[in-house]
Amino acid sequence: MSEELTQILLDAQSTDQEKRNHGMEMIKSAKDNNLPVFLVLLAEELKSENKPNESRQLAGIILKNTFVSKEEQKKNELANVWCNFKEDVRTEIKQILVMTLGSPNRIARHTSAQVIGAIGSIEYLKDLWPALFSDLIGFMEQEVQKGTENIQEGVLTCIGYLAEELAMIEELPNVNEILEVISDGMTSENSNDELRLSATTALYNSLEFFESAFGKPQIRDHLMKAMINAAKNQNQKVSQKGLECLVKIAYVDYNSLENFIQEIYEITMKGMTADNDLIALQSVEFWNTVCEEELEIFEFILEEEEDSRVNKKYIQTVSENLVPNLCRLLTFQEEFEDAGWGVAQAATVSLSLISNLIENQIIELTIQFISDNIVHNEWDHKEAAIICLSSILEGTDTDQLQKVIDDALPLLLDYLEDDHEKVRNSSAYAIGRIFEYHFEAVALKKEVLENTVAALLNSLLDVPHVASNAAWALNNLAEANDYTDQNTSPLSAFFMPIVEKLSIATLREDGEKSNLRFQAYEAISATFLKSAQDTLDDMFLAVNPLLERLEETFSMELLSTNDEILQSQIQGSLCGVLQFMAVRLGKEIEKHAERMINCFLEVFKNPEAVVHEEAMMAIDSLINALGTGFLPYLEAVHPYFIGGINSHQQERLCSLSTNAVGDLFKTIERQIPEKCHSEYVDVFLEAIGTEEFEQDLKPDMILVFGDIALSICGEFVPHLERVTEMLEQASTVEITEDDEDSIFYVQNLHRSVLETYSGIIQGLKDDQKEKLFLPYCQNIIEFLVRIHDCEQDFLDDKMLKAAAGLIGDIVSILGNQVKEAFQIQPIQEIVNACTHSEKKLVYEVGRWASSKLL
Amino acid sequence: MSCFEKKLKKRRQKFKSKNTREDRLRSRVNLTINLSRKLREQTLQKKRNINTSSDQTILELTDEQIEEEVQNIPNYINKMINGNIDEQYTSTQRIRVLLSIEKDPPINEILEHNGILTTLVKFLDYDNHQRLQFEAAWSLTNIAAGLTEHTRMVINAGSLPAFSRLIISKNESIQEQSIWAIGNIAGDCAEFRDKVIENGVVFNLINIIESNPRIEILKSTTWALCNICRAKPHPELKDPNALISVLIGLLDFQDIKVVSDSCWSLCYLADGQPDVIEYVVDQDICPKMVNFLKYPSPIINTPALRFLGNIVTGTDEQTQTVLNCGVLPILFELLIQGNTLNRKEVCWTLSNICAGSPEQIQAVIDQKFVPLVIEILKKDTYAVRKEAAWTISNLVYMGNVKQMIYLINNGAIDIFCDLLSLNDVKILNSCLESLTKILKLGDFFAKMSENQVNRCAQKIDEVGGIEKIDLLYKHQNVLLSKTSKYILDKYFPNYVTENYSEEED
Repeated sequence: MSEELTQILLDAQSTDQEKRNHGMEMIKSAKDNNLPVFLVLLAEELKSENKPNESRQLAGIILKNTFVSKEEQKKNELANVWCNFKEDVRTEIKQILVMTLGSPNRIARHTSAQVIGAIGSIEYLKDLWPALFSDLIGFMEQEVQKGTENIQEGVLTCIGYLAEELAMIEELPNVNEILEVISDGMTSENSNDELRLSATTALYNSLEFFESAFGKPQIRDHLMKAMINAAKNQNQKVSQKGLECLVKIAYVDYNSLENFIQEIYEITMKGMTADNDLIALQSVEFWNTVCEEELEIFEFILEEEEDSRVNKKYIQTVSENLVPNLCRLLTFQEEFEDAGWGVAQAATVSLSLISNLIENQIIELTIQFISDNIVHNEWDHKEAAIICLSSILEGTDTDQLQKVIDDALPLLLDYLEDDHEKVRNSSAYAIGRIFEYHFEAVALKKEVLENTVAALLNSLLDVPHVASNAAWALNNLAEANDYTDQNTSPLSAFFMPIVEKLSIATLREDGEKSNLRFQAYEAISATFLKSAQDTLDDMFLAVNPLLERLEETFSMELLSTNDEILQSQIQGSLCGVLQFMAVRLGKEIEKHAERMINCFLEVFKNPEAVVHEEAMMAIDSLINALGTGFLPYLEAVHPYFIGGINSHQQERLCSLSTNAVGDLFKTIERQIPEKCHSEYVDVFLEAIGTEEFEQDLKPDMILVFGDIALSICGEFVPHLERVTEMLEQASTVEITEDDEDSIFYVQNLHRSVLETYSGIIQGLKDDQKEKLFLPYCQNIIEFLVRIHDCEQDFLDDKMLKAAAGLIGDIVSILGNQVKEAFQIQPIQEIVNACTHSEKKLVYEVGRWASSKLL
Repeated sequence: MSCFEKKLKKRRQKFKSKNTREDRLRSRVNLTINLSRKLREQTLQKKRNINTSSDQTILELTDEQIEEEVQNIPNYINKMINGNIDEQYTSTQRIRVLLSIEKDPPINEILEHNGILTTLVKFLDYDNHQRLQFEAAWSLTNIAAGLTEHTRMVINAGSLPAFSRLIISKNESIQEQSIWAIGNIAGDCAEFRDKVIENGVVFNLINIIESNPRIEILKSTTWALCNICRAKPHPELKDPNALISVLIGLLDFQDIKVVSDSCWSLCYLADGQPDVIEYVVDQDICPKMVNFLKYPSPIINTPALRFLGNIVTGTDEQTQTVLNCGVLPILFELLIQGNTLNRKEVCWTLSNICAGSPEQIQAVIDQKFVPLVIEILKKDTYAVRKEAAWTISNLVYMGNVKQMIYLINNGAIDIFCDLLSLNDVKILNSCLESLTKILKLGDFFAKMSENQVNRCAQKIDEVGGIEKIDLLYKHQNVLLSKTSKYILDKYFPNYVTENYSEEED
């Protein structure tokens, strides 16, 4: 029997197709036949020292894969299969596996460790093996006594796997014990490289669990030293793992670096010059992590959040030596794009992080490298200089960079036609970044701008990779400044050429590569959205061809999933472009309105849900552009509004539909048919009362009632009772959990209630029905008092404004009937707080409300 | 994926990053929704008609006019400093008009000119040109009503001595304007309030009240005094009793706003100040305040309640004075019918009465508060429950044996065990102390009973209290942990604590 199994396992890995199929089939039928027995046999196979490595390893892997899946749900099912085995079966398999951890055969040990990693974590999470770690450690100690040589390495490898599997839980049991075993494995004199590697890996995987242990200086220093020694180890694998630990500890506990930063600095500087790329990479990653931590600390300080970290400004201290090293690493790039994450990429990110930290200082540290290399004969040096330039744009001031950009830009424009694709690509990217961060450095010089735009338009014909970056650069150019209020702008002259060339780029056959089509459409959108008034006539002429394109998508041949994706993407992009055109053209768009509506409704037939969001936004923009001119289309669109509001599974569509209906009422006063009122009131009330809807959607839904009331005035009376009942309920919702999300939600909810009451009373007043509002005043006063009693953070400017607004509305409309009731301290204090706000609008409302209360 | 791995992944995406489809969609969604918010904002603002002020002395300027006027600021300021008296008057008026624009007055554009504030302050002394004096006072009031920084600049320009003098000006417009200025400055923060006091303002405000002024002047004066009394730390007054006497006098006034502001002022002054409490009790105002509790609007009953609450934080005798006014039945009504704020205040007041003598506690019990407070603890809002929790734990902690038995029979143990789930260290501590006291009593009775069983301990067990105490044992607060341990060790020796890690030190 046992020989047969071995043969099957060997067959399953045979190069002979027939043998392999046979082997696989046998394995499958054995699994189906009697899984528990088969698994025990597999475990035995793994354990047997006289079997070949191949069959032992495969036995272990089959065993493991029986219970492992990447999908969460599947993973749970498989875990249950294991847990439903009888206890004696589980115990037998586990015993065999644990025994194998001490095998003299490395493959067997490691495979067994991996299997226990899978099974052990399942059992631990289901509370079937609570003593998992102490069992393993106990077994190890017992075997060490017996003199089993490899047991330490086996058990540590196993702990490494377990820690990885258990990463999602908060804490491990017996942390101190585990830590001791790991540190022993890393530092003991009897250690060999393999043992060190497994111990260091175990430490890396479990580092988060030792946060509390790091609170004790003695343990922390001991561990830090162990990691540093590992990083210094001659064995490259141990050294790399040691460096990885240091990268991770910088993230897990920045404070613990303090006593060791000098030593780590030396190790990583040396590491960056190492032949081994992986060691160089980790050396860079260490400083990346420090950068990210220091940036975050800085942000926390700005936002006055609590932080246990103390900013030691290591980057500031080391940048003088670090930056030149990183620049040098930029030349270690691969020949082709998308080569993956390597040392040059890491150094690029590093430079941009550092520029955020040390700001203008980075210029003098990089300027030499850039000017030496940007005219270099070798493409890799040239490209490194370009990348370096684009990495230092984020944290620096335009006036400081003016000269650098003046010198570099003509070269970049030349390089857009370089022989090397990567140089062209990076140049386009760099120009895009310059527009993003230092638009003024280019825009003020007419000739420079002209040359740059011309070169970029030319690059739209380049390979997709480069063309995509050129389109992105044009997008950034358009977005850099909002000219909508101005008659003309420096970009007006290029408006037509830019739109035309981008439009041609969207039609390229290879447009889906490198997201070229998407970027080109985005650039068109941005150009439309921000351009000056003198472009509007040309923009109007572009509506027709773009609409035609959208119409064409409806008859696209859909032969494959790819075609369907393509259709959705084009429809989405065109909806976006048309949305912005409606925003810009306003009433002018009316001539195309019917066709546009028909198109957008057609888009709703696309089964891909995301494009419905685009279509809904486009429709919304038409509502705002047309005002009452939208009424003829309401009947056709109405079902889609209702459907959108009800789509609780598609949160964003729901939110956008809610928004659109709100806009509908805001722009069209009193003319919306009465039967629509009740339908919207019903559908929103229903949704607000239903748990399936994400709670964050509800404040906006509530606000729509205010829009409706303001629009239909006295006709709102039939809905008054039901809506105010809902508002009263919403006003009593309390913060139940002390987390930001729940506070944010209640805050939004309460603010919506206030604003909606304002809409209702203002609407009623327009038809002289304000008296009907009187019965709600007492509840509103209590609500205001509750709000007043909340924490300071809760009562932010927006809330104050909504509250004071409502107070002013009620007191000015209902006058002496209610005035005295509102002249109470908490309400006065709300209004007073508004008048102390630094925000203009809040202050205004506060002053106004306060004058009404006198 | 662990947090660390996510971070690494995010870092990798940063390389040559451009906006993704999702980024774009999201930004378009935000744009769409923000446009709607703006539209809603505009509609409401339009309805509110905020731009057209009811104050007819404010000239209405169109946007173009404002722009033109802003251009003229340097010119006006130059004339204010160097021109003749007529030019000074018209220019100051122009500046005041600009400062009175409700929407975004150009304060910064005006303040960037050196000497503008000192000039305005100088005009405050022009007793012979009262129209100019008035315009200057108005301008300074508007500047002081801006940001704290602006207020500070107005003070630093030396305006306080002048305003302090002008609040007793014979010209009522100037007087009222100056009172507003003083009120705004004092209301900004304690630091400015103290500066106001240093300039002898309080004495002058008292003089105004005693001069029997017009109702409008009286209203703004009490408002300004209320602002002076409000901020903490307490104002240091030369003669607090003079102010208090005046305020007490105002309690009989017929205007509700004046009464309310005086009430609040007294409240603020008495808050935690034994001397003040002693003085006001001696002035025999408790009956009046208790009477105010019956006033049907919070504008009066809330400050009265807060005031009485402050008094009962004093000595047992002072508390007794309040009780003698028949306050308990009224508090009982307020607790049933009052709004949230008042319910909270009532509970706070009760908790302080319950920290008094056994007789006072008995009075609370006799008024049948206990079932009502327990009801509140079950279902009221958190803020009210918190105060109610203090009431009930003070009752147990200060009560005698008979009172404790009454409480236990009325469900006190259930309630304390319930409260152990709250997240407020102070309340938790007092609950544990109360439970300890109850358990001690239980022990006492156990020794006299046949089976020697501590029935209180039994009850705590029944309602799941032990597990909660055990949880508190693991609380990071040392006192909580110690008290819990004491209770567990002493009264529940058989209970085994769960999963407690070895790190006891």
